[in-house]
Amino acid sequence: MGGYGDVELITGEGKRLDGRLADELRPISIEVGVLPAARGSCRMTWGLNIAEVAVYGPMEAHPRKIQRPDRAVLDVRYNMAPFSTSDRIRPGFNRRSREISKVTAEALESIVMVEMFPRSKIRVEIEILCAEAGTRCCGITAAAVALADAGIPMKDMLVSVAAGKINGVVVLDLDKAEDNYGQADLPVGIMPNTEELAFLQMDGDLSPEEFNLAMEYNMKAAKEIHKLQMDALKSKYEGGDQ
Amino acid sequence: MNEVYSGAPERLVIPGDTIEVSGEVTTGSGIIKLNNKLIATQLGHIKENNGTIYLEACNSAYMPRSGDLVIGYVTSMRGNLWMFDIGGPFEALLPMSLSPWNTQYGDLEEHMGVGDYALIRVQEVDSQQGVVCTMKGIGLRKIATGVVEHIGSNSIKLFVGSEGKNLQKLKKDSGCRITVADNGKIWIEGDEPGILQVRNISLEFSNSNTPYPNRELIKSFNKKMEEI
Repeated sequence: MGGYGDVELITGEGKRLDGRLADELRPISIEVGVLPAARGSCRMTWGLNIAEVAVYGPMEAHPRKIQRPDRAVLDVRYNMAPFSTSDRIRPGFNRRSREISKVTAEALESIVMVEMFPRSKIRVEIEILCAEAGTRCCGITAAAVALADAGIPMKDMLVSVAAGKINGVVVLDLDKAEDNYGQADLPVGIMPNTEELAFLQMDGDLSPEEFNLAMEYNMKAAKEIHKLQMDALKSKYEGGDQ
Repeated sequence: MNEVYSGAPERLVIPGDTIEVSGEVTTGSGIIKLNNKLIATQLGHIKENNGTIYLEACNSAYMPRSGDLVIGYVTSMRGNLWMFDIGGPFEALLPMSLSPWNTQYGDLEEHMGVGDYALIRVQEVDSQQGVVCTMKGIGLRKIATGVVEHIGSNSIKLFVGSEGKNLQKLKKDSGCRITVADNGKIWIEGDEPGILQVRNISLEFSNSNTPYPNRELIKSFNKKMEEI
């Protein structure tokens, strides 16, 4: 959130800078099994965002101090490639990538049946190749698909999507300008079948009514994205029955 | 909510899909009961057998189970046991008491060293995923001849074929002895042309760009089998 600038992000007819309506998503495409060395993988494009996710394991957790006797640990690494934005990003972990890795691991733990793999580790590598806005949502949604592709047992899928507020109007799926100059951002992780929340973050201020509307947009969008996840996974495997 | 009806032709499901059943069924692997609903936990096909509904995963990691016949290689040794990589999340132990040799403490290298392959059986898997193997049993031995190839545990069913037809055909045509282990490794023993013929087929799996048989792989494997 860049602040309450006077940048006009929405027209009188309710259209946004890229022509979308308030409750419209950017174009999304999902591809499964893109990395041959990984047990499961996914490439997701969401607007101008491109995320690639690789899943490895379950494997023995190292160092041993991170092992849990009753469950697996999810080792999530979110990273933005140096060339993912117009300003070069210094390679390696930073405060933001650590935070997003932690949030992602905790969100994925709500769906992965970690108790099936004591003392193990499941490695999830999220690489953002091109960033616009909403890379954490893109990464988490792609990670859920890669985990399903890897055959990791899960209670549900996970879809992450964000709504926010620009020029006093609640909108779905903020792009870069809206993220920079908007007034609020509400990314959530939704389990689409049970409609439970796996995570919720909020940046900026929303009134209770605006919050409810943002959640309504998020819930509706989660259903749409879940359908894309299903189609991507099924198209990879359908017809491949032995 | 995505619903899959039992009794209908087998369907592809993804994690979280609800499975609707008619009548009483027992739930098998890959399905959990959550809020009185049957939920698929993996990407795979729903199948039913004698009143048990289960999920056959399209792609899953090899998880050792008691009784599995596996091919592994020695990664390290202690005074009284060998550690094997059998392709599971954890290394498997082969204590000297479960080897076919009368070994003295500390003399393990006389029989098997790091890098040696062996055909062993999983004796026990504990709740902490510790795996103990045995080499006492018919056919279990150190592998000193032939070739070991990796096809992946998800490809065994396709490689062996319905009622073992593909495997029988391959054995007959190549004149090789082929042992298919549950961890997705195969041991080919025979003369060089025969081994090359089997490798030509098994390379389809090891060179595949997915850890499971995808459409292209199935098509190309079936074509190669027809040509034999």
